[in-house]
Amino acid sequence: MFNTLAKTVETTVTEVATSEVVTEAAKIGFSTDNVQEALLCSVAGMVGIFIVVGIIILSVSVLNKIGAKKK
Amino acid sequence: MAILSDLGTKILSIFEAIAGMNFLSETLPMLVMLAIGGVLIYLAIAKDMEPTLLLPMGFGTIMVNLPLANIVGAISQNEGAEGAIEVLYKAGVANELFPLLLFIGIGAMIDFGPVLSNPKLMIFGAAAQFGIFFTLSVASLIFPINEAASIAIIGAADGPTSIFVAGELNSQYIGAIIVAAYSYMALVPIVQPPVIKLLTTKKERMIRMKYEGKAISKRTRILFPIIVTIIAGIVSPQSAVLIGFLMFGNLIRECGVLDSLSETAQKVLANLITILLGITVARNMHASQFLKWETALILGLGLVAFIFDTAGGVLFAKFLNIFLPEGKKFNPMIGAAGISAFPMSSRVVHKLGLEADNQNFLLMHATGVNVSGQVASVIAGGMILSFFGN
Repeated sequence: MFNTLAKTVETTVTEVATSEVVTEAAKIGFSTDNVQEALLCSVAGMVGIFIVVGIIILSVSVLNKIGAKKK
Repeated sequence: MAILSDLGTKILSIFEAIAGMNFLSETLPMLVMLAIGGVLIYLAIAKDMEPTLLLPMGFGTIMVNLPLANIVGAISQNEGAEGAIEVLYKAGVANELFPLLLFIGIGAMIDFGPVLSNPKLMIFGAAAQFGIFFTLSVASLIFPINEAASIAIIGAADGPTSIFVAGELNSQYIGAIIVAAYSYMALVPIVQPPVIKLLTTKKERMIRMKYEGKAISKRTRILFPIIVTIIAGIVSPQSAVLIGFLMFGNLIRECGVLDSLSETAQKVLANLITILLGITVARNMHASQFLKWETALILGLGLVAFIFDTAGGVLFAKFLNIFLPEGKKFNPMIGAAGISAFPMSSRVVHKLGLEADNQNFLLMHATGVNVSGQVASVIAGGMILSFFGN
């Protein structure tokens, strides 16, 4: 699931990177050209972390329940 | 006599070389870097700020900036020759081996018990990574995107993750990034309280949370590192190596049959790698690399990352409280402990809890969130690599 998300971001990054506009943005200096991809990555990153952590929480809860039943 | 004459000529040539240095472009930067090295050593010894890393780094900074010594090689005067630090850098930092080995030691040190007894707390570890992504967006206004990502990872509040990610992304600012990461980790007791107080009322800080210390089965403790590695590896493959080494260390600790290995990982391995890592990282503390206006910007952005990590955790707890009945609400301060800096952050939250109400003991909850932050920050590092890595 996350791989699809990462691929979407990667595609956007590649598209933006190949444009002439971002060739200029590769230099250090104030520019808003990278913000769009940064925001997209930020949203995808936070969603990704919550997904991974959510699955871990579920797994630990299941483990704890199994342990409690055995007792 | 001839030997004395040779020696005299050599000493003279050294003085001539030093005298021939341009004051503004060579001597002054060198002196500034020697002073910075001295300040790092002072902070480590006198202020007890992350001494295990800042002291070797400070000393290394002095070594690599000695004008005529061939410590680094590649950026010293004997072009082509590799100095000892360059050799160590290539052996352990350029290929990210040292941070990974350090993760085994860290994994062996962490007791995940508090989070295993209340897994819901892990969600705050995720929320407190907000600073990383906020900083990514801000830094992208100034830096190329891969550099912005390397700088943003300072918000992971985790030295090895910062070194690993910045190294993978070939950041030219790795020296400044590491200094910022470790400095702010040491400054957590100064950075976090004002942000927490700004975002919470005294009433919120007084919220008490019951702690039910459930017994965690050995099976759960053993399966936890294995399951986390599998989940992180499948959902975010780029974080597999980071999380894998961390969890391997934890498995050694929890399995119960490798006590001597666990002890070695916690003490000998972690100490050895820390010594080498600190002095090796100083390779990037040469005046030509460090004395740039970007360094000040990176230090500023690192602070932004820590502030917004804290804010992310606190505000997320406040958001959850909207839906929770009285008596079940979280003390929003525990969200701030989701920043990975362990154990400083949990201690800060505990202290603020006691400040608001001298019977409000938040340490166990905050510790649970804090160790969750360790896992979440590694996952965040993996996310950053998924987007910007090769």
